[in-house]
Formats: sequence, structure tokens, C-alpha cells
Amino acid sequence: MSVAGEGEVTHAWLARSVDYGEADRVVTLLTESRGRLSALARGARRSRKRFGGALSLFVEGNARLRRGRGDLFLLESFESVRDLAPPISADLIKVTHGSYVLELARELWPPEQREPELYALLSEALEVIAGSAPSALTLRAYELRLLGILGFAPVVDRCARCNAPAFHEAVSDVTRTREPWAFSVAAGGALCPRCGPTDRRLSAEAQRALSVLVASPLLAAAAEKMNGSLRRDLRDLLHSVLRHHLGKTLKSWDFIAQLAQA
Amino acid sequence: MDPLKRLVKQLSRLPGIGERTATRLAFYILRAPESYAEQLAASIQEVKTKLKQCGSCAMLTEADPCAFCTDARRDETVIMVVAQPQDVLAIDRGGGFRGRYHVLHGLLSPLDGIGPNDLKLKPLLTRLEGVDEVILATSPNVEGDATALYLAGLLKPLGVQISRIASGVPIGGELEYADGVTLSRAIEGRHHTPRLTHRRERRHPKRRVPAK
Repeated sequence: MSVAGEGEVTHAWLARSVDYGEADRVVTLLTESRGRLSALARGARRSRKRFGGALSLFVEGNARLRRGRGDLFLLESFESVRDLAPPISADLIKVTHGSYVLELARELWPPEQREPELYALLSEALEVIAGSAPSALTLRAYELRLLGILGFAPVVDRCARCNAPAFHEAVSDVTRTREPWAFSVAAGGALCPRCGPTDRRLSAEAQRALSVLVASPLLAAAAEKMNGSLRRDLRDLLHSVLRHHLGKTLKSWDFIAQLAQA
Repeated sequence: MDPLKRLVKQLSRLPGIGERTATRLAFYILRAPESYAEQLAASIQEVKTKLKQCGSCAMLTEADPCAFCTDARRDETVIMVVAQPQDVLAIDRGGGFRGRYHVLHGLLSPLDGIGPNDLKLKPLLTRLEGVDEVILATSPNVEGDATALYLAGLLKPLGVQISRIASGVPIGGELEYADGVTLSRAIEGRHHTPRLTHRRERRHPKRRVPAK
């Protein structure tokens, strides 16, 4: 449907809001039918009738959009269809995790590219964060699946260079050995002992954990039993992959680091 | 660039000022007497050179400590924590609070990378002696709630009572025009009204009113 005439209604999550002019806001929306887009919400800081409290983080809304000038859409209304703000706002860790999930999707999602699978993953992640105890493993599974949808998933079940299978499916003499595998962001995943090594070693435990998380529903990921050291390894490894694709660090990472120190 | 364009450009950098309003303001200044322009320029310079943060509450002030901290008529056992100096002015204008203030100069925001180190938290922790209650008066949005949660966690072990300002339907507002999110908040934060006293109970407070 064209958005030039009567406008279009789509489900959306707010991912950023910046004050603009006298009483307006420029918002970044992650939408079901048009992907990531920026829209001008006229009078958003003044009008209670049009947006009220719905145009807020962790509230999924029915966004009525119209094509404006240039790349900017006009957001005509935003009515709440799913309000996850109360359960998320009641826990600082959940706020942090929820913000991270939104920021990562916002930064990796190409503009105006319809990605129903990505939208469903984002909604699932926010629902899991709102409804269960916060777990870093939910974030790791989210990162892996997000990377997979966008075609950036690291190869973990085989060597990214020579395709030698990892774990018990090993067929070559080399992969049967106990020599450690490596991980290379540039190569796109795990490297067998013959194709490695690189500066980052990949333990069999971490390799196995990545294979489990990549196929795991987000809610089930939180229930996986993994020790603190393994969790840190997975976080560092996946953040190095994300940093490579983003070309920068995320603000949520700085926030999480500050919160851990405080 | 001519001086008028330069002025419009500078004015439109101010929050809440679009280019159209900036142009209107620039023409007003242009047509006003020269003394007005001089006073305006001097006032802008003064706020930058003379105002500083109060060493106790972090409110902007010319004298340190500020007027709020030195006013003996204010209740020093209650501190209201707000995000910005303008929140202090808004609350004080309302007249419903006569305690002390503390300004954080921001709110926690993971999406903007604003963490606890970026807020004025340490001065708050050093002024809690003799304080009975800390009221967390941050805005009722995700950032405001997150900041209130963080502060509550920080202050609770110090044995001070912590409260949060209420949120919901505004006074004079109509329920039919309120959005669902605001109404849900209002219902969630409802409080019980005081029980109406029976006329006979008022006349003879010690006598029990028989149940009907």
C-alpha cells in the first residue's frame, strides 16, 4: 500500500526520540511493514490527544504514517497495542536489556527494508525480557538470530574457511585432534586448527554453546546452564562480531559497563 | 553570512526554537532599541560567567550554597530529587513542597549512553544525615523510572524512606480523552480514599456504629 495518499497503518516499536523544533519530535520506528524509518511526530511534546503516553519505549503501537518530504515520514497517530513498559520499567536490568535489544536492531536494520522475521524476533525479545527474569543468554541468542536474519551469522558448526565439521562429525585427521579451534571475525566464524590460528581462541565449550544458542528460542536460551566465564567469552566474541559489522560500539554497552562498575 | 542570518542561525540552535520562530525573534531584536540588545547580550554572558552549581544540591546559583539550601524555613528532613534545574523551578512554583531539592542534571538512559557516572549522585549521598525522606520526582517515562529505580536501590541500604511522585490523569483532565497507557498508569497507582465517617460516629466518636 502506498503511504502517500491516505496513509498506512503498521505495527511499530519506538527506538529513538529526538526533540525537534518547538513541540515536535523526530522518532525512529522499527515497523512491521516498512522496517526502520524516521518520522516527524508533530506536536508530540504538546499534544496529549494524538500520542499521549503511547509513543514511548517498550510500547508497541499502531503507527499511522504518511510520506513526508525527503526520507522523513509524518507520524499521524500512535495507538498502543502492547504495553511492555510497566514490567520492563520496574527492573533496571530489564530496562538495560530492552534498550540494548532496540538499539542493536535500530543500528543493524537497513532503512526501509521490510523484515517480518526481524520484527517478530524484536517483539519476541522484548516480550521475553518483560515476562521473565533478565538473562544475558537471552541477549546472546538474540544477537545470533539477528545476525542470522541479516546474513551475518558467524559459522560455528564447521570451519569458516575449509568447511571441516566441528565436534564429533569431524572427518579429517586434523579436526579429530585436540588442538584448539580459533575464531576470526574477518573469516566469518570458527577456524579449524589447520586454517587457524588467529589471536582469538575458541574453546570447544564456547563453540558448542554458540551452536545451542543459535537454534534456541529466546525464552529457552535463558534456561541454559553456562558458567560465568563461558558467558563472558560468548559476550566478548559476539560483541567483536557486532562491532565489525556496526563499525562502532553501542551506547548500551557503555551503559552496561558503567552499571557493572557502580 | 550577514549578521541577521548569523543571529537566526544561533537562535534556531536553541531547544524548542525552529527557523521560523528564530527569524521572528531576530527581527524583534533588530527593531528593538539598542539598549535592549545590549541587555540581552549581557544577560546571556552573565548566566555563563556568574551561574554555577550549588555545592550541596547542584541547583544553578550565583551564591554557593544556593537560596534553597540556606532558607531556614524549608524542611531539611525531606529532599526532592529532580532531573534538571527547571524542574526545581516548576515544582517550587506549584508551592506544594517546602523541603530541599537535589538536581541530578540528567537521567539514566542506556540508549543515549548516560550512566550513573554522568549524574550528580555523590553529592546526594553525602547530605543524607538527618534526612527522613527522599522523594524521587523524575518524569514518569522509561528513563525517569529507571533513574528512580537505581536511586532507590542506592538509598535503601542507608535507612532513608524513599517515595516516588504519583503519575496518571492530570487535574482538570477528562478521562475520555486520556490515552490507554496513561489510564493504565493511573489505575495501577490508585490509592484508597479515606472512609466516610458516619454522622453518628462523628458526634460520638467512641461509640461504635452497629453494622447494618
